[in-house]
Amino acid sequence: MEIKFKVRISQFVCLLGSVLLLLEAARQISLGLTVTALLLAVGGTMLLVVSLAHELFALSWFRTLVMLSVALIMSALILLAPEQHLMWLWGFPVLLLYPRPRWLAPACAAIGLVTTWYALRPLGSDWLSLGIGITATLMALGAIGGRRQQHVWHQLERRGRRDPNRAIWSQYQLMRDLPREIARADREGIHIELILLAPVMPGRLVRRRLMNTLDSAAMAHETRYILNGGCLAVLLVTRAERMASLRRRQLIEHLAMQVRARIQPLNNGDIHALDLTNLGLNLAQESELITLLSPLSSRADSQDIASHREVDD
Amino acid sequence: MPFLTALTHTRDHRQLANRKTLIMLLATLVIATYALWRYLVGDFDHILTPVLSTLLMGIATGLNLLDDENPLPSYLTLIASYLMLALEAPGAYPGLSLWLGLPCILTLLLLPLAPAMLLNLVLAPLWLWLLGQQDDNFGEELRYLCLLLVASQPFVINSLQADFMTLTASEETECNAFNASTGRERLTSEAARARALDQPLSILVIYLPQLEMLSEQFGEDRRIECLSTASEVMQDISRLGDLLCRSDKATLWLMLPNTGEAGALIMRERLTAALAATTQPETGSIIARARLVIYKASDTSQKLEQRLLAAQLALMDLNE
Repeated sequence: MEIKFKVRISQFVCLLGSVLLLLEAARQISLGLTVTALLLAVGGTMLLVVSLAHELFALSWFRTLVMLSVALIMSALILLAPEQHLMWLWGFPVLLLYPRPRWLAPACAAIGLVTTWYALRPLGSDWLSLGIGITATLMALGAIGGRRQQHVWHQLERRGRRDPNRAIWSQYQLMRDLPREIARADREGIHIELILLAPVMPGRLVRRRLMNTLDSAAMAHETRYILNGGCLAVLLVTRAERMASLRRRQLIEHLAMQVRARIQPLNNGDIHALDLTNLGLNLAQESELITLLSPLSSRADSQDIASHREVDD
Repeated sequence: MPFLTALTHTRDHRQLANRKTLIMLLATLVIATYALWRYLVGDFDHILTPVLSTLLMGIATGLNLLDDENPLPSYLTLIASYLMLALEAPGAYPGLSLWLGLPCILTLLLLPLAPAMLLNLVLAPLWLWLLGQQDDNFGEELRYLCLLLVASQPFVINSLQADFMTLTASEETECNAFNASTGRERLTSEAARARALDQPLSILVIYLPQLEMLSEQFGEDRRIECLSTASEVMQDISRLGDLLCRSDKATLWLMLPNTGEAGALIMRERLTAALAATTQPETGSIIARARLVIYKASDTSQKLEQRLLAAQLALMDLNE
């Protein structure tokens, strides 16, 4: 709840910024059509897109494009109309707060320093050295902020869940849970399998409905996961294989929507042989309702292979 | 090994704080040079502000070196920079609105997001009046607001991500264990599993009474080290199926599925013995107090959780 409210606020701030930029652009165009006015309009439109479609910012190519174009637009504005736009010069250090991919921060810093050099050179060497010094100091502060943020990203990649309000775990969590669960099932002599589920109809709303019905259909010990590819997975534990097929049918009937399922038996399986991205691929186009996959290569086999390899080496 | 990241993280944090101190030291030197230059030129009308700023920056650098969590150095740095900008920049004016964007960016970089935005909005008229151009007033105000909003975007996104991280993380940052909210969810699912498969389930509530004393006497580093060592020892002893989660500052839950009372009691003995055998540099062995809670078939998961919390409180009382 709280986080949704904060997301709304950030979208509003972004929207306000884009509206003001477009307003300034319109004002300048009314005074006379110039390159700077057009650049302002482009920047404003870009911010508008970002504020209205926040999800796009999760795509790395889009993010890189936005950051680089912001840097280039700022530098063009400063160099083309310094009497109006020279204050954008201090905006470059802020771009270093988002160093992802890695080369982005040095690129933005380089653009910023070159722009500072060209913008302040006509003012004399005193101003030039002062300006470069202040910009570099601010950039160092910005880079520290960026490094702090990298820790946050590192944690986000290892997060257990994608959605804080729902008991559905992430693929990272699944990969951490699987060795434990498999070892336990083998020791206790019970059946364990991973059910991959995807709705036949495409679309985000259908997937969300599937997630909601799965919440009520699955029991508390049948842990739900959402994989990186977007398909859902349920870890099913029963006393014997015969009961698993019964429970599986019951679960899918309870969903009351068209789904496709793949079943991966896990007993005695080697977790390294499991390829989750491949497993969820084109699941919705499967012809059968339930596809049983062959068991994973067993741990003993893979150990044999490994020892053979050692012998070969 | 996740518990190693806790130590590297604190080290990383310290390194970044040192770098910030270094930057502040350099800035102090620059302002000091400026003051010296004014003195050498003989311009005594303009010497008070840079000298004052140098003093403030020097104090801020010293304070930052002592305690990097304290916000006071950042505020002192801001005051010094504001002084320089307000009193020096309008006089040394190259005919452009060069300095206008500087105060708001500096504030954003030094302070947390909320106070920075508040300060920027409150001070915006002052900076526009002091540093702005006299003609073309409306356009300049508009551009200033644009800069403020666009520059705040990365900070807004970063603070959102930090919030999201704390909400969705499943592991502790200080030791190799699940965090409390994940632990509760896992407890529910373990109880359901025990019911469905008709298996016993035991949970050990482990309290480490030394942690509080350690952070008071030897600092946070030692406390984290003790906690991560303890959790590592516990992970080593327990089977692959057992779940360790941290429920409180100094309390951990070890869930032992498919383990009856006898097995759990043996486990408790092994655990306390192994922790006692582990030596720490300043405190010697790790003391652990543990209580056993056994899941009954009539228990709902809320009831089980309440019993666990009661056991936790009883352990803490015992210590006092």
